[in-house]
Amino acid sequence: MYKDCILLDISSITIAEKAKRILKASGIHSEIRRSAGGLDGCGYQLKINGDISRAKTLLASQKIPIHGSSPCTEQ
Amino acid sequence: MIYFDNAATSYPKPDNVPQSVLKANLFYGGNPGRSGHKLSLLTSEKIFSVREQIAKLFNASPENVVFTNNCTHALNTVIHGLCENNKTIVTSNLEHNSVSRPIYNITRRENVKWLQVDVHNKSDEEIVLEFEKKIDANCCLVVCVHASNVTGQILPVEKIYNVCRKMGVAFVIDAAQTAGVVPIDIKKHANIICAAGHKGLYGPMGTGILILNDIMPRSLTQGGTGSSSILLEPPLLSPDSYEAGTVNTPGIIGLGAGIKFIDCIGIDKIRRHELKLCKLALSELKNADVFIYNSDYSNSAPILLFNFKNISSSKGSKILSDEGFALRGGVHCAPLAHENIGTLPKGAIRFSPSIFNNEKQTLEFCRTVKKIASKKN
Repeated sequence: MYKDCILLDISSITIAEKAKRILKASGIHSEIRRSAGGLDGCGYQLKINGDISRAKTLLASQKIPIHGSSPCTEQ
Repeated sequence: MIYFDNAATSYPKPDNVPQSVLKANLFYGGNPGRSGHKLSLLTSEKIFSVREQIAKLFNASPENVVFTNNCTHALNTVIHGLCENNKTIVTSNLEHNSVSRPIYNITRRENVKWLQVDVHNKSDEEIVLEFEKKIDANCCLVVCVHASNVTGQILPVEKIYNVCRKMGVAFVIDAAQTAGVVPIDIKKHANIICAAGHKGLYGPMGTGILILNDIMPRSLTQGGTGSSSILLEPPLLSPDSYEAGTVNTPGIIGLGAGIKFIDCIGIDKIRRHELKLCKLALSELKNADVFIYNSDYSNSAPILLFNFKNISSSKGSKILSDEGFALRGGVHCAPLAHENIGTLPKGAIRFSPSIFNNEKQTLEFCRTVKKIASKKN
C-alpha cells in the first residue's frame, strides 16, 4: 500500500476528465480508471499520487463532486 | 459546383475535419464513457477535449456541453424538457420548424398556450417591449431564434434574456445560424443555447450541441450512460442525463476540428467575409429583374433571399443547380418567417456563402442569375 496514493470515486467520465485536468494544471498527476463496484454500479475513479490533501482541496474549490475514496492497494 | 447553401450545411469542410473523422474511426474506436480499457479512456479524453473547445467558445463549463444529433434534437430536448402544463411558451414569429413544430405538437396534446412576438423588421427596442408584454407569471419558457435562416435578422437576445431573467423565465436561443458567425456567451445571452455542429462550426452533419448553464431540462431519452448503471433512475447530471446511448464519436471529433479551424481564422473575420459577399451579391442583383427580400446587413446573418419573377423558387434553384450553383429554394423549414415577408407558400431562393466562397464565384453567380432572369422575362 502506498501512503500518498488514493482512489476518488467520481460518478461520470466527464467529471473525472475535468478533475484530471484541474489537477494536471496544478502539477498533480492522476489517472482515470473504471470502477464497477459501489452501490450504484459503474462509475469512475481518479487515482492520485502525491499531495492528496492539496488535490482534494483543489477539487473541492472547483466543486468537483467526490462520492467516496479508498486507499490504493497497488503500485 | 459552386456551393452557396451554407445555411443548410457548410460545404466544403476545412481539410482537417474529414481528416479528423478518418482518424477518429482509425484510432479512437473505443466507446467513450463505457469501458475501462485504454482505447475507451483515450476516446473519452478526446471527447472531453472537444467539450472544452466548445465550452471556451460559448463561455460555458465543459460538463454543461451536451452533444446532440443536430440543433433540432437539442431544441426538442429543451422544449419538451422545460414546458409545463397550463403554462405559456413565448417565441418570436420567425422561428424555424425545429422550434415551432415541437411547440405546436405540445399545444395539441397539453394545455399549453403559444404566444408569438412580432419581430420582423422591428427595432431592438420595439422587440424587447413586445417580449415584455407577452412574458408574464404564467410563462414557463421563452424560445427565440438568434438569427432567422430566411431573413437573416439577428434578434437582440441579450436584451430579451434580461427581460426573462427579471421575470424568472427560462430563455433558450436557437443559434443554428449564429454559432461560429457571431460571438455567443451563455452567461450573457441565454439560459440554454442550441446550435448545429455542421453549419457555422464547420463540423460534420449529424452533430449538434446543447449548452446549459443554470437550468436543467428533463431528459428526453433514457438509456445507458456508463454510470450508476444499477439504478433504473438515470443520473441527474450533465451531460450524462442528455447523452443516453453511444455518442457520435467521429462526428464530435470532426466538430472539434471544425472549431479549431474557426478559432484559427476568427469568428469576426469569417462573418465580415461572408457579409461582404452578401453585400456584393445585393449590389449586383438589385438592378436585376428579381425580387430581393432583405437588404440591410447592419444586423444580419450572411443570407440573401431572392426570387425570379416568373419562376418558382424550386424551379429557380433547379435551374441554378443545372448552371453549377448550389442554393436552396423553398420554404427553408421556416413557414413563419416566409409568412412575414409574403413568400408563403411559394418560398424563395437563399444565397448563403461561407468562408470558402469568394468574390469571383459571387460575381459569376450574379451574372448567371441575371442571365436566367432576362431569359425568363
